[in-house]
Amino acid sequence: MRTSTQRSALRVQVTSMAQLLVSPISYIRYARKSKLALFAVLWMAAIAIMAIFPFVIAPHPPNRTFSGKSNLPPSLEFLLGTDNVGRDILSQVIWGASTSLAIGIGAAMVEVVIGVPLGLFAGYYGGRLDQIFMRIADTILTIPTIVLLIVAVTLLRAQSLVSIVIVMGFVNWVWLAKTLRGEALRVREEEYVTAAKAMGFSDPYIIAKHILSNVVAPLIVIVTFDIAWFILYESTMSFIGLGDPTIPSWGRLLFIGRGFLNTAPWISVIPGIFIFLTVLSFNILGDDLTGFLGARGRRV
Amino acid sequence: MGTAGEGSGRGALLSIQDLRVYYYFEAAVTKAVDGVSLNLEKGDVLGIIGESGSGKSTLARAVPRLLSRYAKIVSGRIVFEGEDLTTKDERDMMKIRGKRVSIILQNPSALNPTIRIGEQIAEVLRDVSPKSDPKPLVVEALRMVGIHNAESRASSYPYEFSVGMRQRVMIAMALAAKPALVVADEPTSALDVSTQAQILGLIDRLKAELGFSMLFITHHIGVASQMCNKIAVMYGGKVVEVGPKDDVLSKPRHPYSFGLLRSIPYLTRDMGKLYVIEGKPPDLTDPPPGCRFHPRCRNAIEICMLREPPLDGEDQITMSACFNPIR
Repeated sequence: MRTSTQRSALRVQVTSMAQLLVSPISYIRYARKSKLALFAVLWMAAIAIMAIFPFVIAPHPPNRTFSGKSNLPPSLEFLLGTDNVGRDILSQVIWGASTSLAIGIGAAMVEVVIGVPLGLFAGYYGGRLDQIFMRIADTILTIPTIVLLIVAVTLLRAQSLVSIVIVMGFVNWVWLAKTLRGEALRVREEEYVTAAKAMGFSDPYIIAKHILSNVVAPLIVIVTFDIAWFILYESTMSFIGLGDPTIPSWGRLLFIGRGFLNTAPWISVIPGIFIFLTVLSFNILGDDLTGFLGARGRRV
Repeated sequence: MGTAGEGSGRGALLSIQDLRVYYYFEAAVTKAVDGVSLNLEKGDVLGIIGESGSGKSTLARAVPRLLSRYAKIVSGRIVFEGEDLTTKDERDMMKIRGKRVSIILQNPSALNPTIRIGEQIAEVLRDVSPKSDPKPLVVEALRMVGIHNAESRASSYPYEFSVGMRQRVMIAMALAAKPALVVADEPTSALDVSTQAQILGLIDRLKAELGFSMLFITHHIGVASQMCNKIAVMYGGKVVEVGPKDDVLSKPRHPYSFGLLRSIPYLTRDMGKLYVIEGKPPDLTDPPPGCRFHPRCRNAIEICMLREPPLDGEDQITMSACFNPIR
């Protein structure tokens, strides 16, 4: 009995994954109507290609130094110039795309894994579970994020990207969970939840299928905005010297270029433009998805 | 109250005994169902009629224990297939809900708007028999409730269906596990008249095919007379009259059921001014003492204000709760 419900809950996850793979096509059809959204989609497609195939696109390995060619301005040889130790900036930016995306998506996965179940269970059950959850969330929210990040990275003694990703996801699940809790509070009063109970389904099954399917729209929008935030925060961490110095990232270039803003401004400005456009694209996408998913909701 | 049913409920499919369901909200206690006893034999369609706030929907949702979080079963028993449902835990109720007792809800929004129709039926079928492939059964279920092109309609979303078709889907889901008892909570109240007639015809046909019993909640006396063989009239959280359909509808003894039936307009008769029951329904947080209907009753005598009339009748089949019934 119980195992059969769990098994079908698993099947639900698989089918909704399949639906998520199909829906981007219909979203792109929708996004064509807005120039801004189309730009965001195209820019993100470009970044995604860079992130997936950097070894094909980048002219050089990211950490290869060319002796005697440091701080060169953009030229035919180095399209976006070189940094202070003679590394090609274009190659670093391309390799940095995969770092940024991996960080954004990785931290998003951390926050989803923690925030979605906690938010939905708290909102659906209410009562004491909800109270405990809310107090924990409120406590985490009293600490400034950047302080928490700095302390955590210092304590873990690992300026590795993995710890930054985990800490960022861990700090941010609170916002996601709070929003989803509110959504679950709304959805649990819907008649179809009563109907699902009347069919004899268990509460965890109803949460996984009937509540989750009706909070997907805000979930996607929040996660989209958060990916932008994560990319920005990774750059911030790198900029203040708490990034991973061995891995090429946009934040690392910003950090390096900080000392050469007068003599070689391109070292900071170029990754800055990439960060700016990518974060902007995620935010435009988030706004546009609100309309797209909202419109889908209204048809109901 | 409480005299009815306890002895005679042995062989019944469903026997509700002196059931009390109260709502606790802030400081107020609303006695929505206050001492109701009813029996439902196998094959019966028992109609519960009454106006808004009479407690009929609360009664319907109490049977599969689907009450809101503010409601509590204070006392009484709900004996279904020999077992008292009020003492069962959630895990046992899950095995009964949707399998032995189903509910058809009034509101067509009882389908999840984000999931395809076929999948919503399939999940019910999977819950009943996890091993078999639900797909052919989904198509069969859609055909059973009269939806054409069942194969292609299974991949539609609820918003692509009309209200009547959605109600058909709900019926298909409720009947998927071939339950012994179907609770229909105003299944046609949200529908227009012609769709209503189709849905009632469908329920009638499926009842003949599948042989379930029904608790049929409605405020529409015409619907009740078409669908039911027994009728209970509820007022202010209590059953005021119960019996075979013809007895209750043609010879009502309780002044409330009498008034209710007299207040139906007929197109075929010249009735003059329509009969009106004066006053308003009782406030169930503070019900009137004695008979709950006495402030509005034209037949009220002194005892009505002092004591609650028991639900009783000579033959124990047709019973009414009134000290001064209509003769």
